[in-house]
Amino acid sequence: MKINQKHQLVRLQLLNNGNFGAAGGRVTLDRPTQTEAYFGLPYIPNSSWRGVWRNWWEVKPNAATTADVIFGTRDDPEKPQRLEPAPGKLIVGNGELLCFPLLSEDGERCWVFPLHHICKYVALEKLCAPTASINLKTVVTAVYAEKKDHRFVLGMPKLPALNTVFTLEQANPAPTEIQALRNLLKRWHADWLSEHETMLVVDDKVAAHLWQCASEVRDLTALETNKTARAQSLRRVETIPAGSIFLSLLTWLGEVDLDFGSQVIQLGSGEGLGNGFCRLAAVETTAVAAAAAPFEEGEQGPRERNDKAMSEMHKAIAAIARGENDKLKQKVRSAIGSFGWRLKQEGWEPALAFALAKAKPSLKATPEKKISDDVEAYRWLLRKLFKIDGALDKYQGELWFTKEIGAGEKSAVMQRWQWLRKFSEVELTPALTEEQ
Amino acid sequence: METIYQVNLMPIEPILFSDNRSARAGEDHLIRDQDPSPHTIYGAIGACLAGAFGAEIDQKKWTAEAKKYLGDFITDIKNGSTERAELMGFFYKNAQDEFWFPRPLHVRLRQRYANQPVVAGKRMRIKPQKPGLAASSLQDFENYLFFERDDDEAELDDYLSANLLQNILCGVDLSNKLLLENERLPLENIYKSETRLGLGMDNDANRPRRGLLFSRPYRRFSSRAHAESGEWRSAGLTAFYKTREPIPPQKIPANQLAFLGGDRGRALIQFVETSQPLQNLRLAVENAAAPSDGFFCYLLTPAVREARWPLIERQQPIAAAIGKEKVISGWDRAASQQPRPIRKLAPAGSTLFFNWPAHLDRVELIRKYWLQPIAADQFRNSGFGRMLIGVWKNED
Repeated sequence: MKINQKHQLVRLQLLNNGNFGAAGGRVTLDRPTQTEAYFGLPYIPNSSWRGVWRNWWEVKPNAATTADVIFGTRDDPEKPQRLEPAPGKLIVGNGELLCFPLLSEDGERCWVFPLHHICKYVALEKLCAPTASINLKTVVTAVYAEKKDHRFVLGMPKLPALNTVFTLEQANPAPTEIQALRNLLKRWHADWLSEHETMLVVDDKVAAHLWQCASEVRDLTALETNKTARAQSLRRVETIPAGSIFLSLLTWLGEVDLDFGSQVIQLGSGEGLGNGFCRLAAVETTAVAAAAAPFEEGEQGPRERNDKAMSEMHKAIAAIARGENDKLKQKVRSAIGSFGWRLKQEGWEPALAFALAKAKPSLKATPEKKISDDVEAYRWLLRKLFKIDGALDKYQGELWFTKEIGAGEKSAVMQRWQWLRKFSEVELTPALTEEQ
Repeated sequence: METIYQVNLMPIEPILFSDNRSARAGEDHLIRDQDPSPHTIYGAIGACLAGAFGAEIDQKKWTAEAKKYLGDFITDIKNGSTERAELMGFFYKNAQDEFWFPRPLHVRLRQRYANQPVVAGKRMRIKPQKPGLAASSLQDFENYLFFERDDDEAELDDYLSANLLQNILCGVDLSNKLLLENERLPLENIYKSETRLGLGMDNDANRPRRGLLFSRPYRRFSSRAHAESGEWRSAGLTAFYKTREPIPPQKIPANQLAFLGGDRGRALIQFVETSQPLQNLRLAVENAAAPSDGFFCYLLTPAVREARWPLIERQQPIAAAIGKEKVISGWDRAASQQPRPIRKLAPAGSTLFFNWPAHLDRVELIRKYWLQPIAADQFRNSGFGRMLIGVWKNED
């Protein structure tokens, strides 16, 4: 990533869950993640990120002195000072939450955008591009509207069913502002989110509540060398879900461009557990990205929009349901559920890798050894999700992992998975026995 | 020609106003939060303007153009000079851009339980000292502030609105007045403490250094998106800053960030030229001067405590409410890697009561001392001890 202007907006996306240790705590958590004092939303502390970049920079040959100029001289009593004490010329802002993922009651993944942060970064973007101007007056008015026990949320394209302590209603700002807002968000998240997924623009209280629903808590323990649990090592760790996107404002007071490469960096705790890996990129301010596609009239949302996917997935499930192999039905149902869970918890790559490992594309049946129902179920699932006719390619993994799966394809796969999940719940459920 | 600017500082991230403990991670690392020193505000604004003239906060990098508008760059800043730029005072503003002032310390607040309405305290009078009351802390004064006993008095960190401050400066009797929501602002509506963890890293080994877990006390300022405009605004500070010459409009920083506090915290900065700072407030006090018994100095910014009481028109105060003194300091990273000296301050909001002098017109006195320093030789340019004038009247 290049830093070539005085102020630059940068976006970061967590590729895995992340934890940024908080000084405060909650009774039910041993290690909550750092949250802001007013809204309780998580953020990425700038010191964490700055330290990682400094470390990365100092690995370069003869870069120690330039690191002092960029990041500031060190106050390390054990090492001689190379320069007069001075602050760094690169000021890294906190990564503040642009959006986080949340599952609706229907199992649909939505992206929650706190409106407060959107308005803040609209203001800060003027530092990067003084002519940048967007008016969100009616959006703010509609979302912050007060009504007893009711909260207004701008669902794009619609408000999904959410389990909240408030009664949520769809906000209705001016259509031109909705389109402007969608264009803005598309430019900020670029293609890191699918346009076809639901986006919710919410006020501070709803954002804080939904964050509590979306944050993931993991129980961890440590093992002794003899593989028994170490005493008092059980701990509860709060993590920010993978996929969450943060924005940060960088200020660079130097005269030459900085290049931090196209690295993926690891921030926060749990590096050994694979936590906190992020990708980052500069937000384009001048060259505006392609505008978000307008909603079609009468459009209700991704699932209703694609009735063809619904029909195809229903036929596929019905074909399995008509079969007599009850074990295969059970395995198919299990594979569908497992794929969705892994996709949500760990992201695309781990979910695909796991499904491929289970499907064993290169394994062939022999007279001595038949293909197990479990393997058949995963092969069937991958064929349906990716619309593959015939058998899986032996090199299917390479086909998927050597090129990036586009946002459109991801969205289509998600859509098929949602229908598969829905129909399998109904049609592949084992019949009740008389005793039951 | 001297020009005054109203400067708004809106922090865009948590700000670290640290004291004089070392920021180096280690066993001696124990930074504490403190109210920002006037030096900090003065430096933030001055550095931003100097940057517009190609100068840096460094003797060697001070330019002739910076000197024209800001004056000489000097290191001995204790003694004031009108030949250099001045900070004329500062106070908080909330995210709605309303001004909030420190409570004048002779005004007490009453609240028995949390969430109960807040009421101004019972009546205060200025009474001549009785021999038995002349304890050591009062013996300098001819009079003392007499308050009726009040079991419900509460030490609330509340700030008062411009309207309420106007009433107080005009000597309006507020005893037992119910303070409305728009007249007082709890401190947490301006900022909240946000402590952040840190640890020392051994970058060569890519692992934390043992025993170097620490925390830093940041202040996160309140902010909101305005329904009326759709714009984001943050609570912050408003200051009055005087330059030696009017700054050319093209040089006034627009869409700029200033560095505020430690760790290079950033704040949006905005300059608006103003000829008469807090003019409406001053005019109201001028109108209330005639029927009053005396005047009082209200410290808008903290003043350095000295061994003697400050004199106004060669008069010593007859009574005062200065509360508990505050201390400020800092860490001198660039020069000596040592703590800066600790200074004891009379806190902002302190009030010192005087009789009207016979030789000077009352309105003239108010104008003469409005936003002026209470002691010219105590960091005048950095904005210490800047005062507003109020009037007092005993009802009985």
